Amino acid sequence: MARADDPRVVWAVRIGFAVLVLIVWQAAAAWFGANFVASPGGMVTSAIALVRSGELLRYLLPTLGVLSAGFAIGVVVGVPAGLAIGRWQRLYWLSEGPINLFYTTPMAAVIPVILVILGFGASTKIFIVFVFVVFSVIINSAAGIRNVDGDLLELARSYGSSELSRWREILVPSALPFVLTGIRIGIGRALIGAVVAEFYAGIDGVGYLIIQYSNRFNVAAALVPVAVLVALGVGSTTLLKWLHRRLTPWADQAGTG
Amino acid sequence: MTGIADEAQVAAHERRATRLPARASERLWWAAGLLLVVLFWQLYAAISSNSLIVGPWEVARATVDLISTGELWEYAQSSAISMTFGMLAGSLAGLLIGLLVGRFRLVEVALDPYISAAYATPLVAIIPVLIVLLGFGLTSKIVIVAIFVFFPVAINTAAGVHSVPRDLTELARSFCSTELQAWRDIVVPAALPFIVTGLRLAVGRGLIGVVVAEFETAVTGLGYLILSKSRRFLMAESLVPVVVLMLVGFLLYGGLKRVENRMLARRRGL
Repeated sequence: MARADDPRVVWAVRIGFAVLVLIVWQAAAAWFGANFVASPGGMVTSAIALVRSGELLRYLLPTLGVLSAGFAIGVVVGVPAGLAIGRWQRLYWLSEGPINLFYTTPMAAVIPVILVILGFGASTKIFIVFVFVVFSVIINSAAGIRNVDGDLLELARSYGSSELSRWREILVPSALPFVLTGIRIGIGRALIGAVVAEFYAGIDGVGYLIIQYSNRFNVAAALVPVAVLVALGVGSTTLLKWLHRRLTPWADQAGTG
Repeated sequence: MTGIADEAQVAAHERRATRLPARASERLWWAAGLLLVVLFWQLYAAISSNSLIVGPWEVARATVDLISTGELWEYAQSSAISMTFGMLAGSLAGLLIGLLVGRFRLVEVALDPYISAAYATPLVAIIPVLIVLLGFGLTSKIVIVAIFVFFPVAINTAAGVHSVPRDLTELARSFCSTELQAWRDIVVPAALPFIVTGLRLAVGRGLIGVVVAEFETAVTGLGYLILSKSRRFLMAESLVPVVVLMLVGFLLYGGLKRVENRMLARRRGL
């Protein structure tokens, strides 16, 4: 179907599908009663009200603060740790078990426990976001170093290059696409951590806003912060994919695996 | 636009990033790493002035308690039911949509951006809304798990169908194979390792879905056990279900990883 590769056709199909979904949704809302199933129209009305009153922004800012702090610490700690783990074989073996164990654990399960132990303040939420981010960054950074072409390193060594120049010329550039992938996965996990923490810390943040409106059965208003989170997730993922292409143009996005 | 290809790439990264140790000295270091974490945790709990921080020893004792009262079993059973049915429903739907997206360009064009967007979204955010809509019963938990499981399975299945070399399908067509035969002999076998990757990623997400749904409904399940114990400041008991979830996640993930590696090895051997 060569026709389907025409960008105009592609976008027509995409938008057409979205419109179809919205129509079915609006019809379903009308059928079941709009109190129960929020209609797209009702969502837009609620969104305008939440933005106008400044409520959305007031709840969004703390979330963004917690997210960026926890994420930044996670990257600053995770990248060097991952690079070191990838470089030194014994360190890799030593840390592989615990890191994989923590990575595969449904971290969300620990959040209520962490909140009780460390308190309900912002620093606890930052810690939770950090924990969610750091393991994917470590795992991918280490994989990046371990993926470096061994022949290249051998060659560099036989020409008497120092460890420092090996890092600069070979290791860091080769690992960069993997590090960026780890960061991208980390952002997705950071959002999950922040939202679940806000569900239970129950003071501020978009997570709390969702809970508040759900408990009042105001589904249309509860879906507004959800839409903000969708935008945050898609936006950050798109930004990192762009960075990926920009910073590592030699590594074809689909070919680095 | 290249969402599906990217996720497949991530899976390929992970394939390399996590693998089971092979040699004896490697195993020794590996075990030492786990032991060190436990020791460090116990030591930290002992010297910490915060009485809410409990060590692995207290957690082990609490585990024995919760098992002997039957409490752990009761709550775990409820979580297992939600997880099993949710995984089944979500993977079947994901498989179906993934195959359609991988096979038919029109379906791919229509769905790909939305599937990628949903995959990048923290789905936990819709859990409270879904519970308001579907109630506090088993149904809403199954639906939540199914939604969490659906996306990784669909994306990886589609990537698997895409991975089939075009030469092969063209060859099959020129030898007059039917659509069904092409699926059975070429497409499904080639996509299988990817589907297993999708299931492996889905396990972790499904567990998150179950736990957060149980936090919210607060009726039963391991999630509720965590919440109710931690609210009564019974920290050791609240960590028992966390350890159970940790082990379940690790074992399912590791098991599916093995299946995947075996499949990939066989595929390379061909």
